[in-house]
Amino acid sequence: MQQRGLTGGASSRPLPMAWQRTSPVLRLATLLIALAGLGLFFLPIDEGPRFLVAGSLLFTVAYMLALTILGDRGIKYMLIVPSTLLLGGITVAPLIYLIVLSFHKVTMMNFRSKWPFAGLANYMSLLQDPLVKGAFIRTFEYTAINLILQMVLGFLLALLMQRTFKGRSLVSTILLIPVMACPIVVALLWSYLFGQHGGLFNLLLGKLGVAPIPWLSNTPLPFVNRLGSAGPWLAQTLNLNWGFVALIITNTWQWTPFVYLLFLAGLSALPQEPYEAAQIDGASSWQVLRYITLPLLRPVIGVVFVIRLVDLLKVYDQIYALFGESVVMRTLNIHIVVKGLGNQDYGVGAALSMVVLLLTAVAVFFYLGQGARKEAN
Amino acid sequence: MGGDSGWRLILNYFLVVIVAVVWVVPFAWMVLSSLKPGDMIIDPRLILWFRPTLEHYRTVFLSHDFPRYLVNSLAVSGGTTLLTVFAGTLAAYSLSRFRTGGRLYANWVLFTRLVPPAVLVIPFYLMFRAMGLINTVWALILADCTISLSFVIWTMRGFFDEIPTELEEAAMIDGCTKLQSLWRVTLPLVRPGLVATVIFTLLFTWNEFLYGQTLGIAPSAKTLPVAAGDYVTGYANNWGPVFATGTVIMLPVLVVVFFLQKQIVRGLTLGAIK
Repeated sequence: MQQRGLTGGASSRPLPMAWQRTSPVLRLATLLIALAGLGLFFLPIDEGPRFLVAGSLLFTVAYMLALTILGDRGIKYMLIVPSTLLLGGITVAPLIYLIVLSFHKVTMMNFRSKWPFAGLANYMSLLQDPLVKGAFIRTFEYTAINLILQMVLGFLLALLMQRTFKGRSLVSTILLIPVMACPIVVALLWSYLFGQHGGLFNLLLGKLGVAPIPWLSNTPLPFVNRLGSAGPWLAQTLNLNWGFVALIITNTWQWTPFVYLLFLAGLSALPQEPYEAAQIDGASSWQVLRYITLPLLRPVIGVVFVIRLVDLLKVYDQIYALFGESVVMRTLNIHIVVKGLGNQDYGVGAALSMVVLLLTAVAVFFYLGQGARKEAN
Repeated sequence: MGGDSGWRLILNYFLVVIVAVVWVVPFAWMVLSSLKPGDMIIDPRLILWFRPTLEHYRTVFLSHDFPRYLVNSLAVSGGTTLLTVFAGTLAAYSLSRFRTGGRLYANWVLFTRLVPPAVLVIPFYLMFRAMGLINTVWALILADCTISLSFVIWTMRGFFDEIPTELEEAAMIDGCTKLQSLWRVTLPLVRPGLVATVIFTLLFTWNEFLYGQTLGIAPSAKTLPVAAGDYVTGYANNWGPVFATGTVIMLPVLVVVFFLQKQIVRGLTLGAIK
């Protein structure tokens, strides 16, 4: 076994001495990384990747040397150095950039020259864009409906799976697959299942003698016709069409098992005493659910709610896979990508990104509120 | 809970069977369809019995840039995992043991986890273009770190919190430095958690689509999910290769689900229940 670990001793000492006390493996590794980093600078490859990789390798060497010299001094700050640099580079820097972009008139045309200051003009233009209004309503509806469906179905699923029965472990394995599955593959698969050509649902409906449903279109839902003259307007504004239903089914199918998993873990962590007491008092299953399970589970319900809320606000891939950039199915996230990268209108795209970020910040606020309440209890 | 009468038991099993069917059939249908001859996939009849063919897998593996996409996917998820697990575990240890940075740092990490990836797409695109990283796997590795670094810090902090500090203190009395006690005492103890975190990070980046589609669509950086998504645009009924690619993407997921179920459930539920 090696005698020395990553650093030499408890107190700081000059580098050569500290270096002598580290393990030979570590010394060799450091030397190799340093050589690789230096060597990379002279390789004839593109500048960007070369500087990035060589820089990271040399940083690693410097970091290890610094740890060796400092020992335990300032170790708590030394440990967060890599993650702080990384987080700063990939969150703080882009966010500052985003704010700057959102207040300037920047498009592909003038990106390399001067950016005129635009004040709030980019934000104002969002208000006049009917697509933004549509995407806003759609995002809200998509999030709300999915959230409610998944919470309710996930909870019922947890109650069902909480019982012990034969084949339970097989079913719980099956339910784990969608949680880990690639969202884009799930969406492509559902796009096929919903499709007109060999789609499973319409095949099964056909067997039952039902006319095929135009799932992947914005055909209004059947009941809209009965709403009279307000029908078409409602269908258009509130997305009362089959395509939107298909979007919701896809997301709810993939993520209900995740909600169920969280609820099941929450249920199994509940104390047993109240249930025993209820049984002695002869409470019905409904009473047990209403007066014991739900109140005890409230903190978990809150956390699950926020986790799903945040994830639903992130959704891009599933909607893209089912409808691409189709105007009638765009959510805010898709509109950002179309505006900012498709149309190369960076300023307006950045303004829209800021709006979505603010929406998320409200969710963060909510989450922290939940956390504080949990700590207070 | 209550006496299970016969009817209740039957109802219970009935519901369980429905649940199993609802969540198995779509995936089974995908795998089945990937083995069907092309014209049968879009046949307007329900075909369950057919002679399986590997033609779509052959098409995907041979005529497209599939091996390259596979290597890109592996490089992106491997690179991101290496970077974020290294940086994230050290930070998580510091946050767990010394509360470094207090609430501010913890909230910053949490906030990063909540930002929708679409929000960062425009600045990432412009920054990486300026750095000459567009259409390289490096851009995807850096971008994917936004998703996984905060996840690693948050999850590993939870695992470190569960390990009592007495063991480390004993190691330090025996002459270990803080870093040595982390390396020799604490890390072996959190190994199950670390394994779960590594698997999650690998799978999240393996499944990632948005950054792949915006920052690396050239063959030099295209990942498998983006390649599968390519078939979306054409309304051509080219489902065979889609499902072959999809099945390949799902393979590691299935392996993980079947063999590491316990760790995954623990990792998924840790943050929510504590």
